[in-house]
Amino acid sequence: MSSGNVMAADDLRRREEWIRLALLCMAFSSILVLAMIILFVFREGVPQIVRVGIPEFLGGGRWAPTKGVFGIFPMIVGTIQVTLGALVIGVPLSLLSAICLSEFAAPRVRMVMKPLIELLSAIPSVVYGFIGVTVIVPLVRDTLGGSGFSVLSAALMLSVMILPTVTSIAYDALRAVPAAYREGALALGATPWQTVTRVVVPAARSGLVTAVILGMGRAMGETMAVIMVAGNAVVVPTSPLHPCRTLTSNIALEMAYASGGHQKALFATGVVLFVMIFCLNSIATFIARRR
Amino acid sequence: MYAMGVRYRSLRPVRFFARLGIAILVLFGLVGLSGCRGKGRVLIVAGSTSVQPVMEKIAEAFRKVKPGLRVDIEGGGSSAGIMAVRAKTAALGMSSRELKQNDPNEAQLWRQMLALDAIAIIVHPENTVASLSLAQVRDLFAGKIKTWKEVGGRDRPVHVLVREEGSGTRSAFEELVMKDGKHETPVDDYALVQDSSGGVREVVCNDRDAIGFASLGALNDSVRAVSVEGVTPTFESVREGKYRLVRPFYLIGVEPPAGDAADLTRFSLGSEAAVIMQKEGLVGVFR
Repeated sequence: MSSGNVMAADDLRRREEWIRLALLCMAFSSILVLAMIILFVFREGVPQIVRVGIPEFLGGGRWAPTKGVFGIFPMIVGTIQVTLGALVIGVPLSLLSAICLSEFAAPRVRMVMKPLIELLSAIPSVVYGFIGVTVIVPLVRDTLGGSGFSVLSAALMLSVMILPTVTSIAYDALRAVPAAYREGALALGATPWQTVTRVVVPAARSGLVTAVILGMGRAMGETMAVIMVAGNAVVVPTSPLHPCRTLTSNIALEMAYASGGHQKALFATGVVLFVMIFCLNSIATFIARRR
Repeated sequence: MYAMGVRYRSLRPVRFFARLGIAILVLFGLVGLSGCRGKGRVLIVAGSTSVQPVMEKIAEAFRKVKPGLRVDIEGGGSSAGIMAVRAKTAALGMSSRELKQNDPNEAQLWRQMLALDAIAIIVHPENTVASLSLAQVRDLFAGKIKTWKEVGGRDRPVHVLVREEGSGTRSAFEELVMKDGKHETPVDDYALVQDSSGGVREVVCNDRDAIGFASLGALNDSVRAVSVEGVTPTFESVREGKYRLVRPFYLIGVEPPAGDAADLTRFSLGSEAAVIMQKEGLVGVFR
């Protein structure tokens, strides 16, 4: 090699370092934005929680922010009910379709079904909400009574919304089980169904749990569609036909005209939601790592 | 050939952190720069959160007339607006209630009526109830009347719809309907909540058992406004003072405004602002 090439190599090295630096900037800018959001939400919200008092804020049953009463207990209950409802309906559907796709479907069926299910997640949530208002709400109102805007309607709609998330993650987890497991089970005389229930699903357990938890996070974080079908009344629902308000809905509903303590209380609602979602995600990561 | 991977590792920690520091500084610098803007003249208008949305739209249109001036519209409530003009922290105040003539802090202030805000009580067009008394409306929204039969309609449950807390229409409704003298009846906890007049209207026009409220200007043919105390809300009955669920919107100052504040006041009473107010469902005073 000539000396010219060595010079070029030096240049290249320097350029390489600049590129590396530029990429580093990009990487840290996203973390910086995240950090600033967290900082901002907590700075606005936490003092309000302290001012109201933690038991009063988290356990209070009445929400009348314009009259200085801040209790988000009904919304915490509402969030949990809607989320659990969505999981009860959506998870069996998703897991069974993931098992079907991964273990039983012909390659050609899989090739069509998998992208179609994933396409469900590309539909904007407001479209789901619109379908909820025009189809699910009148259906519930006419068949079961009440106003139709209810925990049940929200859970039904969310169960469809979490389908793609749970199905595709569960599918990946099932595909990750080595083929040798299946071959071994079948060679020992197990039927295909026994192979799936006794070998493949237990082996993919941690991945399946992660799928469910991520679906739970999706259900909990959904806002727009839930506002449209849940009715948004601040009550602890004692029947699936009662209306309810979730934490995310509360923020989105009232942020437009909120000011002063009311606005800070909405940030505080965000803090509570943040902590709940953070715990869920941590559990998901923990389970996924334990594999 | 030259192994690039080796160069990656050779960047020592000290230099790495120095560069990271620079990178973060640059980022913060960018964020900081975007926050700073040239400071021109600022006109602050503060007060009622009910007047705030329409005033913000008027200020936006006003900006095209006077590009050099920044108009800040702040909420806080009618009383806070009155305090702000008295303390000179705002050039103009916004109030959605009458000034208290027996309060020396308020009686002497200058005021200009902008518009009248009328609240219509709306039901499904097929609802057989055409007229309600104010007390009946209050009991319906408080959840004390649970079926339409009790007010002369069909034997069906009532589905109550309200706006969210903090909405100007909601606070107007509470003030005009739910308040009886000093006592205020709370709205039924099980009332459904929608975050826009359009949302309330949509639900009412799809549910025969629903009752809701909206600003007069937000109505259309899909819903029917019931008459309250025998008066149907129309722009005429509001202007003539017959319809009772009405409150005034005022601009307020310590003395008649001058300079930029006077220009904004004039603009708010002009034809362009009248169009904006009608879109917001208000009955302008000069028509």
